[in-house]
Amino acid sequence: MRRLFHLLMRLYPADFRREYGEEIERAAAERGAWKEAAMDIVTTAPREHADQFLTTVRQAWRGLRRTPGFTLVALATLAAGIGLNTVIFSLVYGALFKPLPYPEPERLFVVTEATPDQQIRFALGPDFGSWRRLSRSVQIMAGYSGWSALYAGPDGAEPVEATQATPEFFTALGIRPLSGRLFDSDDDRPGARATAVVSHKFWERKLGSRPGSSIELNAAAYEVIGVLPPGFEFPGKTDVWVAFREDFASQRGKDGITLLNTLARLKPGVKPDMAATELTGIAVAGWNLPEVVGGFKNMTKGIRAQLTPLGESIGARSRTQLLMLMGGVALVLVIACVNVANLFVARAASRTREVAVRLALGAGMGRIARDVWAENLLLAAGGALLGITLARLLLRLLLKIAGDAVPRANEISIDTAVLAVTALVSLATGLVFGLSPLLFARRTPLNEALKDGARGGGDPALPRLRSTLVAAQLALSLVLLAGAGLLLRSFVALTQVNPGFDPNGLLTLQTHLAPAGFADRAHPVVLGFYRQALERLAALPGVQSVAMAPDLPVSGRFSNMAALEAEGHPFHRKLPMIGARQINPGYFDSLRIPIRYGRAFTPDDLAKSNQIVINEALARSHFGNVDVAGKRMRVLSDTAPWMTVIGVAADVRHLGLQAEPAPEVYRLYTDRDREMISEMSFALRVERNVDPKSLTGEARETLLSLGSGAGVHNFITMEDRIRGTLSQRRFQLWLLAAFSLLAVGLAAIGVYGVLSYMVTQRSHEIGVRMALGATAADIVGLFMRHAWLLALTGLAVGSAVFYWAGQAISKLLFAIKPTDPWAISGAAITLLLVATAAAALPAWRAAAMDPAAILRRNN
Amino acid sequence: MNGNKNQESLSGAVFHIALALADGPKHGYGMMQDVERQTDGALKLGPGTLYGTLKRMLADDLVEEAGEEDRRRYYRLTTLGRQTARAEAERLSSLVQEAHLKKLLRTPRPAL
Repeated sequence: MRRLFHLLMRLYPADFRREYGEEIERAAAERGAWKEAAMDIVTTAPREHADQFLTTVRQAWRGLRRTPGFTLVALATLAAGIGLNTVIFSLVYGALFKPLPYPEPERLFVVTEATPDQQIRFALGPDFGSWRRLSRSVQIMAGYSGWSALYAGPDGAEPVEATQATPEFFTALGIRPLSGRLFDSDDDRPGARATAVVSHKFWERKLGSRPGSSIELNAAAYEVIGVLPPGFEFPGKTDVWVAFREDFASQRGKDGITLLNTLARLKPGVKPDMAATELTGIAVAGWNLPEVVGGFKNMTKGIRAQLTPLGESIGARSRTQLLMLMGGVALVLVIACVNVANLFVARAASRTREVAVRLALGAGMGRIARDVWAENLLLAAGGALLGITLARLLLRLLLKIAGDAVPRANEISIDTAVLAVTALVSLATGLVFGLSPLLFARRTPLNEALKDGARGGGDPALPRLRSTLVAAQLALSLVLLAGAGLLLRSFVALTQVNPGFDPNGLLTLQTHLAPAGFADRAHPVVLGFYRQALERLAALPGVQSVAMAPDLPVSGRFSNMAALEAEGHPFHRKLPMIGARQINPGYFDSLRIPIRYGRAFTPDDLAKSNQIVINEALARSHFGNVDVAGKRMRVLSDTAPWMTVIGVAADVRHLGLQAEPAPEVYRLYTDRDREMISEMSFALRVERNVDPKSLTGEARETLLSLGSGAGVHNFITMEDRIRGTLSQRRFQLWLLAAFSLLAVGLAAIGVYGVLSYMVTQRSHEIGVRMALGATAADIVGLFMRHAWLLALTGLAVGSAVFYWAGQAISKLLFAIKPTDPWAISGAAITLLLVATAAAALPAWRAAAMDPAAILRRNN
Repeated sequence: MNGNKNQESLSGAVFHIALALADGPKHGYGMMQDVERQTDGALKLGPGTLYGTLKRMLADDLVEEAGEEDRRRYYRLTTLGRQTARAEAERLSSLVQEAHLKKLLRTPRPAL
């Protein structure tokens, strides 16, 4: 029993045991009731711990209140660091890692296909058809694809975000309707009533929350069968879903196949690579069928299916940039911590005596550590609370500014997961910056501490520790600043890229036509509209000429893809898919795209067929040289007619400024085209000295006066269009710039603090030096040399770190290497200047001291 | 935590210890014995409870150490401790009188 009693004594806090252990044991022995005494320990030990905890916290609180300046600065620094981290982490978490808001999201995958030469990024329609029929590993498979829809609303025609989806789409996601029903297998039957499912937002805003309405899309009536729950956003910001009506299986024998996004919900327990193997097998078997056209057989050689988790696929585009921001903001937090650590060290200096005396009087190191850490954790907790408040405000602001640049923005919030991480980060913060004063206290001998007096001395390790911390801060700031520099240089480089055409003085707009009736009757209406639109727009005063194409440069997409082969050049598999564009004869002239060889189209060519203009990239990839005017190409099919290349145009960066020009083929959109293009873009080349924007009203009037019910929208100058493609980069640049600014500011405060402290500490020495004839310049030099040594050490270390870490953001750069000397040296020079400025103030103060006064005071 | 101790009723252990010390300094075991005697053996204060309570009473200035003898620590009431204990006793006594008035206790006994 007595042994148990001894064991149980360990339950008490050490301090209590030290103070009363012996007494308790003696009392227990005198009474001889070991069992009762043991039970007593068990019931009273928790109380003693709570007591000790409260006492410690109360002491910490009192300690902090004694130094309000320190407490406020430390709190503000921590709140900024923790707040920023919370904001960026909630962005990153919401966009990349948060489980999707669907049941069992880990079973949802996007299926794409690839050949050995090319990522297709979609699934081929025929393969989708076979998978849906044959796959055993997939429970539900759904296809979907963007659909350009014109909605005839009460205020006129307007485009809506629409998606055509196979009936399994919502079942695969596991979504239930708010009201009505979702698609079932009848909805995609040929001849079935046209049905649509709408978003909650659309239902509220456009349909006035009325049940059972019908809407008009592209001049056809759709019955609204169901409304989705609020907040459902997939894919993108879709408002209307219609059933995908397409016979995917029959496409193998034709010359056109649908590319579609494919969603698979795997059967429980099926591993994604097992499913990928199965789907690949099905696809390969499909393309070996006898009815497959020869061209497709070649193109799909080595085809394979790949599965990407749905959540990952949604966030994929922003992954690198979001992780970079996370890294950046984490650096800011570390710098903030270093600043707080620095404050603590400075504060520890004023407590050197207290700590040393307590140590000497027998207080355990653990006890002192606990007191210091209690202050830290109290501060960290306060910082976290303030930080979260700050984060809420910042996040709202950020999503307002840049909500479109972030995937799944509607799911981003400061939720439990984010708060848990913030709490962890704060705890780690408190522990980390709590270490430094302890390290320092441990090595201060009592007599040193007690000598502290006239000279304001203390441990020589103290300023050294602070200097090290500041050098570390400068190193981290350099990493951030140089990173921002790289992004800035990339951005500038991008804006200087030659897009391949002249974007100045162009007004662009889009039309959306949806005449009623079947394609063969509607077609002439559409063609008539385009002919008239071109004529009337070109006749507007101030307009020189007009370009027309389904997609204008930098739109980032091709409305058509084709697989072409060059005559006399055996088919080679590189880049079989080529962007194809139907244009008007004035296209090259209006956009000022130079023709390198041969000629551009003329209006006379409208009567001829089988003529094409190709770009230099296509000439190079398919013929191996550029001057190929007069050569022939055809669609990859033995029966397709040959087309003559009448000219080779300069490469245009259709896919955005950062993308290398892709091979492209142009042909005229003529009356004989079978394909009806319902969405068209126009670019008006205005005369010099005319502001393109000023033509917006007239152009709109002109097009609406043609009276065909066309939707006319997106009036924007080409320059603004290009600016728009850079918005995401601008966003990340601004954020990183803000972070580095904060970092540099914190580092400057750090340098200033260390130097000020040093000046106070060495005032006696300064007085002696000046009395012995040192000039003000000597004194300034004394301190500046120290500051520069500090800065150079920090910058050298920072450069080394950056050299190693810069690779991580190389994906975000354009035309700039991560080791770009300008970015590093620019950042280094900036920091050197900042450090100089921050050190100059205390140095001058030192030089301005009156030596006589100092010496009188100190002796 | 400090300050308003006097207005609140004291916890049982505190009052019993104060009572035990009312007639002079005692050591730990002495206090335990006295508390047992006060309550006719109904309350046996464990040593852990005793010293935990003493620690808090020390912090609140109700008791102080009165030196060591035979390697045992003696404690005594401070003036504040004595006042506090008296206030508590008066409070209890008036409660007992109230109980008599309300015929809750049948045989009146002299109050403390």
